[in-house]
Amino acid sequence: MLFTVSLVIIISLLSYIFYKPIHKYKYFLYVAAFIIALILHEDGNYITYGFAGLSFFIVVMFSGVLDKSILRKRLFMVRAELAILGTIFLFPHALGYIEIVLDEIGLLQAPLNFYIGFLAGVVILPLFITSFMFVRKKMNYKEWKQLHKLAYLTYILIGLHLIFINNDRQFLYIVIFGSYVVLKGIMLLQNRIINNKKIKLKKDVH
Amino acid sequence: MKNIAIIIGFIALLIVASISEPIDDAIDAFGGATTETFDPAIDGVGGVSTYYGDEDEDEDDEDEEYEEDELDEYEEEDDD
Repeated sequence: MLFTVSLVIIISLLSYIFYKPIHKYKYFLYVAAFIIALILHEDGNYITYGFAGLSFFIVVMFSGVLDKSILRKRLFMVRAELAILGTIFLFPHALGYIEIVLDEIGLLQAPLNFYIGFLAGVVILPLFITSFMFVRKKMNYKEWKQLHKLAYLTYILIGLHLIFINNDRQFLYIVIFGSYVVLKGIMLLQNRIINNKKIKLKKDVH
Repeated sequence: MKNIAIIIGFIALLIVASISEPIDDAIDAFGGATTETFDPAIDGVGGVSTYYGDEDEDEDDEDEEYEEDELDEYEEEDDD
């Protein structure tokens, strides 16, 4: 967790400082990430264990619950890029474990966290494809927005996938994903209160 | 306020992680070693050797056979 949390902080800092170059040279970054993932996909390492992808996803998740600020604004500018990079780093993890399960364990005898992770992968795939700007431009904004609400399901599945590994880090995973759920809940509640006030004000004016 | 709480939360998490997780384990993970902290449970199910111990007993048998052969050779040399 030490390196995962460190990576989360580093990604956040880099995104805060270099949000413009990240946005501008995103395709170079995607290619670089893809090459790194391709080179390191064979062995068990930080990327194939899925922690690199997880770090990117934690930044994407928590940027969504930040209060309005420069930090939130800058992270939002590169949110799609970070999500795409995170997914690229998750490919070797997903494919590696699918290979292990098919070759060594058998599809029906894998642990529960494998199936949850697989489901997360299935849900991530359309989100990944539609996060590319050239695909997004071809879609209706409402449709795109509706589809990307699946990101919340992805976060839940990733959280459960990690918690069900049932290792020493289980408590930390519960803290991270639990605090996200609480913060998101608070945010939704705040939004509802603000919206109700606006509606009331409109009624009073009329 | 919430932003500060999130930043403090991650710094606290970093401190907790550095206390609970030996630095060697994190470094090993970069190299691909399965350690007590990085415990992909699926490795154990898949038959990959884990920190629980290698269950392959054949390797020990080979060592014993090798030792026996060595002893025989020594005995033959002594006879000469």
